[in-house]
Amino acid sequence: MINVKAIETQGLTKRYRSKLALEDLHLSVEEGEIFGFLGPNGAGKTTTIRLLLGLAYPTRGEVRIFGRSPQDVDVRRQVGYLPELFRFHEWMTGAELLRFHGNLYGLSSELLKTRIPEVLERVGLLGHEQRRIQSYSKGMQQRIGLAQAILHQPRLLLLDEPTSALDPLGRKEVRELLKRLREEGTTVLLNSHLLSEVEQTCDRIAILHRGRLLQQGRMDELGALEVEILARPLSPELTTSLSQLGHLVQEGERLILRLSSRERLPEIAQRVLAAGSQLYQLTPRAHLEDLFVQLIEEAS
Amino acid sequence: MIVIARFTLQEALRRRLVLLIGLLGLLFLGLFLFGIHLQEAAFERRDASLGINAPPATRFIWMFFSVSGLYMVSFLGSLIAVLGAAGSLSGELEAGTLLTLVTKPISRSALLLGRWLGLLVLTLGFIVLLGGGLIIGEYRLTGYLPPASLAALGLMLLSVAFLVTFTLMGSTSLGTLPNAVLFLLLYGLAWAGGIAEAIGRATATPLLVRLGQISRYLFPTNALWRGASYYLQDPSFLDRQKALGVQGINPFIGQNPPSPHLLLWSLTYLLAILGIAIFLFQKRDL
Repeated sequence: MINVKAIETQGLTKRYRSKLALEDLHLSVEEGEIFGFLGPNGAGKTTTIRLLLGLAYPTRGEVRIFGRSPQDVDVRRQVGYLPELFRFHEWMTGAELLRFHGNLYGLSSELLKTRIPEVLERVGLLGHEQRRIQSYSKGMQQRIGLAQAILHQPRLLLLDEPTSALDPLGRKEVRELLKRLREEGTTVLLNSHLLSEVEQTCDRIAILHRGRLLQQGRMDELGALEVEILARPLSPELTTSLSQLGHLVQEGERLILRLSSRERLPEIAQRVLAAGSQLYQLTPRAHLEDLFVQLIEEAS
Repeated sequence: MIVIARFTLQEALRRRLVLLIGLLGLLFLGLFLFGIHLQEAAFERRDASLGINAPPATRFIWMFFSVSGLYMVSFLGSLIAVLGAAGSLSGELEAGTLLTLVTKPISRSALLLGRWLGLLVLTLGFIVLLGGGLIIGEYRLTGYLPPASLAALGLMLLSVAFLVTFTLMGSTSLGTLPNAVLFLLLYGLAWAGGIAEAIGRATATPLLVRLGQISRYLFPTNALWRGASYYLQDPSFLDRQKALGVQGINPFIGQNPPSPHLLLWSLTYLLAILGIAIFLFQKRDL
């Protein structure tokens, strides 16, 4: 049982009648990472999550969660889930809902007494737990949904568009919550179509389009890499030399270089010095939006 | 499983479903017993004016009261069974609340069985309270007690349990509304099947009798009620009918005890349906 993957799929395929929702997905998520699942609407992200949870059955292929079947009750004890179209029993109060879900996780009432205020605090709902869910705003319902997903301190958290109903402030809070969870060792799979959200939180991403995996890897390894360069003086020799590495644009006194390959990154400093300039700043940044648009356009 | 059963009851209470049904049931019971009270008073006035004691045939009147009252209880119980169970899984799925339940560390079969248990407690509780209240109330007012009340109530419970189970099975695959319509329709058809059989017997039409018998095994709710009604009737009344040669032609109540076949079949059938419901729910993509 050394190095069991949090999630592993092999040739995962799901067909709904004539529509192919997911095709031959090989996915592997290590424990402790935040993994982002990106793709336009209808790309197969939600289908994948449903297969990972055992809500739907694959047409072909296999899912392993911590090396076991997602139907395994012991596996589910370690998994938390917030669906995209979250709805909860509106006649319950927030506290009742969490107690009910806690009971379903098999948590004792004693533990729940301390655990419920903790998660309420984490999702920013403390003080609202005696109100009925029907009086909650959409954003608050999403927060209570997050609370029920992390109530039992899961090893793996599956979140399907977890900030869709939140304002920018709420999104930031969720990002911070996810980072804290990662520090505690929780593995998170995050479905989102919000590129900035994925960019800011995820260690690795997979891009899905029309049921097929286009790309997966570490954020900084993926495709085009942009580098911001501050060098003085900005001589013509320097710009000519650098433009041999990729597409070069000048923005004020800075140069933005889009490298064709990550391997050429170390050459930048050499070329700056060789051109007789001084290097003040060299900041690589992955540019997810460009990569995303490029991949989707190529695939379409 | 117990968590889900408790949740089902809590939900019914909270959504004022139970309150509404309970109030309607009480209203029905009150009106019914008030009617008996009026009848009893009328009998007493008549007996006093004629200077006689209550004639033995009075018991037949009370018997008809209890049979028709319990018929109503059985009907209301069946209605609650179908309407309660129709959306118990599909409704949750349609509302989107099911997803966070089935992903919890409980098996789908435990979830379904929990729902089933909760619904059974609800509907059977209704029959026991209302039916029991009716029998006891009538006894207190008139001194009449049906010959085998417990056997009759037992059969009514079995009939309602059957409806709950069948409708719950429908709820694994059908939408709430089609499911409710389907099972109310089947319930009605079983009733019509019983009538067809009675007419068939009265007119010696073998085809109608055959149809009635088939419906009795396919959907035994009505046959179980007819069995229950047998236990509510006075033996001397049944003997008299037998002597008149009009046995088995009353379309609403039965003149024979339910056959052991039917009981065994209904129980086996119920458990089989429950098994199929679990199978369907487990195999389904949610």
